Amino acid sequence: MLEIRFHGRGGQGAVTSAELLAQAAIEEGKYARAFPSFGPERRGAPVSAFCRIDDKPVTLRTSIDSPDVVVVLDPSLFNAVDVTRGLKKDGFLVINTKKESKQFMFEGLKQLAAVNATQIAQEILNRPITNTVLLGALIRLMPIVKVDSLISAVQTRFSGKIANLNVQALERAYQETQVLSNNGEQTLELVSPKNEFAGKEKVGKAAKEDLDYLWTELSPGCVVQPGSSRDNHTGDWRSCLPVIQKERCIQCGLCWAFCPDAAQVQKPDGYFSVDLDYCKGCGICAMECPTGAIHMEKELEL
Amino acid sequence: MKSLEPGDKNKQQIVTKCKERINAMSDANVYAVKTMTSKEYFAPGHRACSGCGQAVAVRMVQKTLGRNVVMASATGCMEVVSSPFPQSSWQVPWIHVAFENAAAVASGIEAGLKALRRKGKIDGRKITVVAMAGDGGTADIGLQALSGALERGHDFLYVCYDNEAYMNTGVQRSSATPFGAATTTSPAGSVNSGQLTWKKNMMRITAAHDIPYAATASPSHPLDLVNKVKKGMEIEGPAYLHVLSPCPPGWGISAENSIQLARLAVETGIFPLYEIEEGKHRMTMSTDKLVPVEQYLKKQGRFRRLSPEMMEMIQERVRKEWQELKEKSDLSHGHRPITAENFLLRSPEGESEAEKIFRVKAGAPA
Repeated sequence: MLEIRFHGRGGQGAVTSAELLAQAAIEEGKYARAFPSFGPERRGAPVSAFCRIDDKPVTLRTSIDSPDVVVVLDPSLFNAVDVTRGLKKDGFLVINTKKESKQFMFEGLKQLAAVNATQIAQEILNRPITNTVLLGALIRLMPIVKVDSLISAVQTRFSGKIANLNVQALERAYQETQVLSNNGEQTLELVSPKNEFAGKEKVGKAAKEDLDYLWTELSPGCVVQPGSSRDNHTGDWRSCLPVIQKERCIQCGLCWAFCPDAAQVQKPDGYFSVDLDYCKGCGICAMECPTGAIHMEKELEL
Repeated sequence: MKSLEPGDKNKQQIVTKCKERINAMSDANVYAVKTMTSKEYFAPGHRACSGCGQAVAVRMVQKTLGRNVVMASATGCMEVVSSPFPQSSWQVPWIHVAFENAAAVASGIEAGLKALRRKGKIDGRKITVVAMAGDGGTADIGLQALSGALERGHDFLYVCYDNEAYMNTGVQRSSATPFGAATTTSPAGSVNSGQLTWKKNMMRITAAHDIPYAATASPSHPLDLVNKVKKGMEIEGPAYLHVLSPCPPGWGISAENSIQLARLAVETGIFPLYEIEEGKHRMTMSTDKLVPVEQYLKKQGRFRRLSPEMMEMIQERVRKEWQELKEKSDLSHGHRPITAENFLLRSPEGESEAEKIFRVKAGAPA
């Protein structure tokens, strides 16, 4: 059984990628199961989706803790989530980055596929939805399914212009993906996924619970501290960053009043500054600033 | 207004635009938001979508309510995003209850506080009881509890955050979804553009209970919203506040536009700002010229399939309702224009004047 875990942000289509891959595998006569995992988070929050593919019926319905392949849809997720958690030894990693792919290689990883998916998505789809792009990179790394079956799954899922654009994005990613094996050399050798992963040890950090404690460990009437959501730094949802030009600022406070996340903080000198721990980068402050003192800049890839 | 990039060429033009924009807003509207307390009662780190209009509204309402408050919150977006175990965004007493009984629980809290006060177990400090729910928890599922609580005359404030569908579960229609809006259960297709029915008028329903105070508010008009929350707190008996809460994913708008859309809803007359005090209507945002509804509808993905005829139908209805409201409104009745003077300014200690008055009145220690 091949286990694939997708990491993305709400709205990027991680769930759709897992479903498309499963759909394509089913079309080829294999068995597959795909489902997402998310908390109460919303658009922009880290989410994960799972896909299991096998030659016999897949009965497992649990989340994937030790995947064979990890697909990361957003470059900023490396800081926010431990994406390689539980990845099997000699596993595979597919990433979206504009950086040198070499620096993402680590001991225990068999092959790495890197593609500048955000750019491809922006150019073809005109929005940073990277799911089909990463699928193109994934099947370039390992032919889990045929390109044609994946394209037909995309065409069934979407319609008209959007389907065509997504197929274009997928094909371009298939061309542009760089595959790196762990001796550092670029390779175009395709690896068959069959029976590759039976009985492999786990690398990366041991799988642990996302929560600090389970509800069963708590005594009845436990105390949840007021305002404890401050521990949850929503700043890692951000893809754009508000930048304030002091010369234009009239200290009216509208950015502070209209911020959904209380991320505009007034400093003793009267000017406002952005609390990067909580700013989700929605851009309301830039939109509402009466003097145009705030503009949004793209968040740098860390 | 479009944000400005550094090094813009037509600087003179921009400066003129800025001046126009500032002149168009009264001084009070530009500066008075700073009269809200800098204390946060709805802590950041909540999981609301980026650009959530409801989170903006909740923050403003909580800032006005202060800390002497007990909240009862129905199930909905705000409950889910603010209280994932083991964290909470609330810095005031807050109870999560089922979808349908926020008003019933608030009634119980109010009655309980009254009994404790009578028995001398708590001091005489004024404690506001607030029930909050979304449009589903108010107009559909919680309507019976709300009606009961209003009829029994409990001294509480009910705040409905109206994002015009069941957004928490992924955009299903509610009775507050406006005509023509596409949701997953009123989808746009070749025949229909979305919702086939008109938005339920909660203001008329609550006002029909003869409650002392009911009002609509929008986070795009913070001063107006703050004043209405204050009135709702001060008035003896039940008060109802209907707050528009733009939802970027549900409405099909980009995150930065949510406040702009709320403002357009007010300026087009689709969501008029008014209050009903002791049966007397008063418009708090009155204008002779309404912005065409097209400007509001065209910006949203949920109205994408709206035909010109349907748009004309909406325009016609908005015009008619606005005219009715205007005729009902008695402009001479208690008309208090919003200026910086009649809005209490924050003292250097960070406590607003209104909070101080409450504290002194109640005899609580500083």
